[in-house]
Amino acid sequence: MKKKFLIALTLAFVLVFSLGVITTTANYFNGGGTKISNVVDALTSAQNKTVQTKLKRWGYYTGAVDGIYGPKTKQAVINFQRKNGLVADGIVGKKTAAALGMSLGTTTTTSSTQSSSDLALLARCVHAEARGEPYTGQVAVAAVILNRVKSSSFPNTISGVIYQPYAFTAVNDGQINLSPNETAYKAAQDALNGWDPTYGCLYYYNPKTATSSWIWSRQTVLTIGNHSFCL
Amino acid sequence: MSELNKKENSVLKSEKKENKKKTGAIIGLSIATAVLGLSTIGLGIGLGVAQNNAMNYKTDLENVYNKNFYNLLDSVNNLDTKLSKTLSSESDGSTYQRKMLMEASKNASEAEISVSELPLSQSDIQDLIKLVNQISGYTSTLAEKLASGGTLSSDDIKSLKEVQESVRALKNQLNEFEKKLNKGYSILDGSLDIDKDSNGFSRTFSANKDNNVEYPTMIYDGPFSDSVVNSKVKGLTGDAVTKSEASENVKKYFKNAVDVDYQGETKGRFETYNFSVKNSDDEQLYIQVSKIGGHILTISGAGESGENNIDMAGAKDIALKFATDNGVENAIVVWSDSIDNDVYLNIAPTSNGIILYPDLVKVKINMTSGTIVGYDSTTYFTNHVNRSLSKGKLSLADAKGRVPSTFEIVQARYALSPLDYNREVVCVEVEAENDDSTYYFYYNVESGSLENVLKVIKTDNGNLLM
Repeated sequence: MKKKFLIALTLAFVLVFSLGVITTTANYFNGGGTKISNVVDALTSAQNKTVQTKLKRWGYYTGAVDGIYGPKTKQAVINFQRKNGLVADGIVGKKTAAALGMSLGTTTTTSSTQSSSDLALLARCVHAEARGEPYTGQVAVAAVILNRVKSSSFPNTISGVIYQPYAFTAVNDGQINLSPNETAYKAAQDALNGWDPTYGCLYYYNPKTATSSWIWSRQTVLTIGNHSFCL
Repeated sequence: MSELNKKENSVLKSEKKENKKKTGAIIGLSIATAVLGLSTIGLGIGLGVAQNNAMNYKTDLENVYNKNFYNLLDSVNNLDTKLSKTLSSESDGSTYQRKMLMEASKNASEAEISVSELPLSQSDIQDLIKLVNQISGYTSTLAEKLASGGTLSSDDIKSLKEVQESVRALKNQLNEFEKKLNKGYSILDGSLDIDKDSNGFSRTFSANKDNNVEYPTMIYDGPFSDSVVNSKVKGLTGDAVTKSEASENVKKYFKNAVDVDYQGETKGRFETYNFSVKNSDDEQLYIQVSKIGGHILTISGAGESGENNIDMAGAKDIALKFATDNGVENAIVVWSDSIDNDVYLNIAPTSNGIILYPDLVKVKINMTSGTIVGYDSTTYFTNHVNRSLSKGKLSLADAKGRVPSTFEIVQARYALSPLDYNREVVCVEVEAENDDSTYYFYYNVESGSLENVLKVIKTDNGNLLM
């Protein structure tokens, strides 16, 4: 009896293990080992406050207006969604925001899409490439991207430059799809407003990790944080 | 008997036991085989599906690369044809010639888009991108020359012929590569064969360099011309300062600095000493001081967030005083905006009552601390020279009268406006509103003609001039 039990156990193990192998391989082939989601962006604290204020005014929410999206706020959102015939998932997306009569910023206004999408893409690239760098180092990375847009040796749009094959390692490995933080946005904004601490540089590299021999031949203009910027 | 029976019985019993054990083992084994078999099949199917998916993705990507290559080939072929047609009409300056130049410019810019989407490494591709970008800029500049009544000079014709030579060499290179594609070459597989800074595709693609695509010099003032990219610094004057003098200058303007760290030099278009500064408000700034004149050229940093302690008027005062102290003359605030806790100000010098837009200085001030967290005077020092400017014949009232009647006039003033490339024109700038939108009209003070219109685009991140 013991033996049978043992065999069964081994089999169960083999089965579970092989299923595991199947799913991981499938996952691997279905889009790489690192899957990064940027589907739902959390609301900012100010936006949460707006949600709370509105829900409180209409009697869905009784807690404090503190900008924190806690369980009470979530329940209030769910109740609001049920009453208004929306999907009751507790997430303030486009439709719920519209029902609340608030704007989620970049995604819902039509007049600003053109420039805001550039800003968002630039911020994402800055975040992916330079999130550990000092603020000026982040502005500098954004400035290099914009200098490339102006340069004759590179594509002529922000998206063209960022998605040019092999141009940025963080685009190649998918880190570009991480949600950028506030600092990356500010740095991108400053660069779009014309700030360029590199005075026209087109390249940068980390001297500690760079393997390209070609990049070392460029004229270095300055170093900020871990990055050397060059022409 | 009974003993024998007992014995037989016990033998039978033990046989039965044996049989039971055997059947148990057989059942166990068959279950094991079945489960193992099933899981193997499952694993096989899973792997098959995964591999099939991977194959689909590979095919998709291969197709995109192929599409880009054929687009490139098309654009370069068309470009060659348009250049031939332009040259066949020599220097007659006809509308047809202008049309061909415009189309050549469009084909060249299409070629740029296709080539930059192929998996070519930067070092292998940038000369090619530069070639097509400059052809696009050059041909459109020539087309504009024809549009304003000019004709192609003999130098223009000569340059265009050189350009066509390069385009034909490029065409040959692409045709050679196309033969390989037809024989089943895979761009994707080639791109995955990575060796140092390049890859197999890059090498195969540029293998026909013996066709030698020459890169002609195109001399023009227009998009992507070298003269625009390599603009010289015209306005920086004064004595050379040492590193310690530069550091003293930083401490003079940032009295609340608790930490001033030397960060090395900038050796580019501008030569600067760089400092990182931490102040008593815990703000971290990066400051670049010019070696010539010791002016603070650039500041960048992120300010703190909190209550606003200064207002727009206060910010303007801080900005103007700082700019004046750092070599910017006769400046006024021409544009202001606030985003979150920061005020963005554009200030420009004036000369003879005319605002000098080419010499713009940008300032960003944190409204909580009142610190200048952003400053850029590189444009000012690049362009600022003594200009003798005249207000011409057009009065402010005349200019206002030229704005379409559907607009409501806000104000008018004289301004030197940077137009196209390296061209500056004195204009009357009229700010006007229509349908909740703000526009700026620029009328040439000599001819009275409309030179430019800017529209203010409101965004969540401040206003934008387009």
